[in-house]
Amino acid sequence: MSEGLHHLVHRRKGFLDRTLAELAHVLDRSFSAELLSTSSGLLQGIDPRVKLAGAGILILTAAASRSLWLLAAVFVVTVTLAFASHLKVRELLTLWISVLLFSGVIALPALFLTPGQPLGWGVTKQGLQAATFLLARVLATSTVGSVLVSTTPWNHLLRAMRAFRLPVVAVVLIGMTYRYIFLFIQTTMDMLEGRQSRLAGELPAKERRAMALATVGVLMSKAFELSSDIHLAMQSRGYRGEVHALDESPLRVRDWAILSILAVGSGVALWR
Amino acid sequence: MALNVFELEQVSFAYRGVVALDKVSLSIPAGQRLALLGANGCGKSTLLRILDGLYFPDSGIVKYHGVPLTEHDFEHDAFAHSFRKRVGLVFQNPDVQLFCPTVFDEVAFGPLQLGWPKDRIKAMVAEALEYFEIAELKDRAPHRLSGGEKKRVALASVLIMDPEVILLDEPTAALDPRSQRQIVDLMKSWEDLGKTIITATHDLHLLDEIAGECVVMDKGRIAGRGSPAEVLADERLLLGANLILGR
Repeated sequence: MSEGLHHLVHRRKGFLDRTLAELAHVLDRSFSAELLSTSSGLLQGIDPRVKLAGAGILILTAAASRSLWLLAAVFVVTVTLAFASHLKVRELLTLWISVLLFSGVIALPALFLTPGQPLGWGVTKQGLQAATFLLARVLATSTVGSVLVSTTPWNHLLRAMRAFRLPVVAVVLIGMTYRYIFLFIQTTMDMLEGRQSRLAGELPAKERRAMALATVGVLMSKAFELSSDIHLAMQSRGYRGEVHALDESPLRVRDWAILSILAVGSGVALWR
Repeated sequence: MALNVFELEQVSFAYRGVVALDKVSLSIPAGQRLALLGANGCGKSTLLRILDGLYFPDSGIVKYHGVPLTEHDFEHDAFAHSFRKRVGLVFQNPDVQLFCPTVFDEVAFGPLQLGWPKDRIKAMVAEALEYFEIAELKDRAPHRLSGGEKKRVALASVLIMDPEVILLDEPTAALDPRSQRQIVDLMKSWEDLGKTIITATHDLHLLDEIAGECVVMDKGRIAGRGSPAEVLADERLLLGANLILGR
């Protein structure tokens, strides 16, 4: 976290201010993520379409697997690829902890409620297996997803989605949403800074709430204005309600080879 | 004598009751480099949007090449495609205009919507990126670019369609001096191409370079018209339009 951002997070109080400081943190993190996704790691050098398809194969394998060993293999392969692509252990640990906490809460009742052979303290063997499978699946699949997103620039990921025949309009909408989220975070930050620069001391809670509401109102009004202008800008360049996009270049032999190995390997592992 | 690209007769337009243009009459000959001068809120941007067929007047007539321009005309693909190819608008705020995930996609957007062959588009985009010196930015996300870079991408995204009329809304606003100079030099380089260039601005110091004719606007009306030298010499006109401070 940059020094200015750290200052922002710790100086300001109140729900809105804290939320906005977190938004600034999102900007900071997205910038770091973009740097990582364009660095020179193993996965960064692979065609985004291959990565997207490969991640899909790994996720399907994990979802269909009935073996903890196979789930562990998916997890180990993904983590190895992550380290070969310069992902930080801290990033992965943060992901794993939140996944385990969230999924743990969901998996906990299964320990006691699933009928089967008792192991003590109300826990059954079948319940323990079900909970372990759930946690292992979520851990493996979320790691695959996270590694894919961390090693692929967002705009390349969108192009890859287009290559898999996702409706162009859906891909364009996702891209525009992503792009304008950052503009609005920046606008919100500017408004907040403008407000702070004209304040001396703390405002009473009631006035802070009123000011927060006013900020949200202004932001909404700006969002409507911007969306109207964007539509005009699209119309001005020939948009008539249907979006057209360029086709992608064909995959190389190496890309097909990687995908084939992954698909065959996953198929064999699942079949056994 | 050059034919008029646009003719406006008594054009009025209001945003929810707030008058933006009030009985504006104006002729713009083909090949003219026209500057629309005026303070913020005088109706320059609204006029550009009317010329680009994005807004339609509440009253009055806008003619394009002598033919009245109506909302109904744009319901037909053939007319809409032809007009969008021939008239291009560069918006004041590049964030409005840059909505694609990469610079390459952004520049390709217009030609793709007009249904041009995809192979031709790829070659043209590459050429446009080189011309605007933004080839190294082609895979970058537009929201990560500097103000000057965004402006050049916005220009490239419109100029790739090679329009005969280029409408520019405050092209040098909020740019550092170097980026301003780059944009002005680009505009000067179009001088010999015979294009009609209509620029909304309040940068008086650039007038000589970007325009051969000026229209001064004030509160939605045309307050005066003349060459840059004539307009700049008319202190009363500039004072009345809030373009300079009184002594």
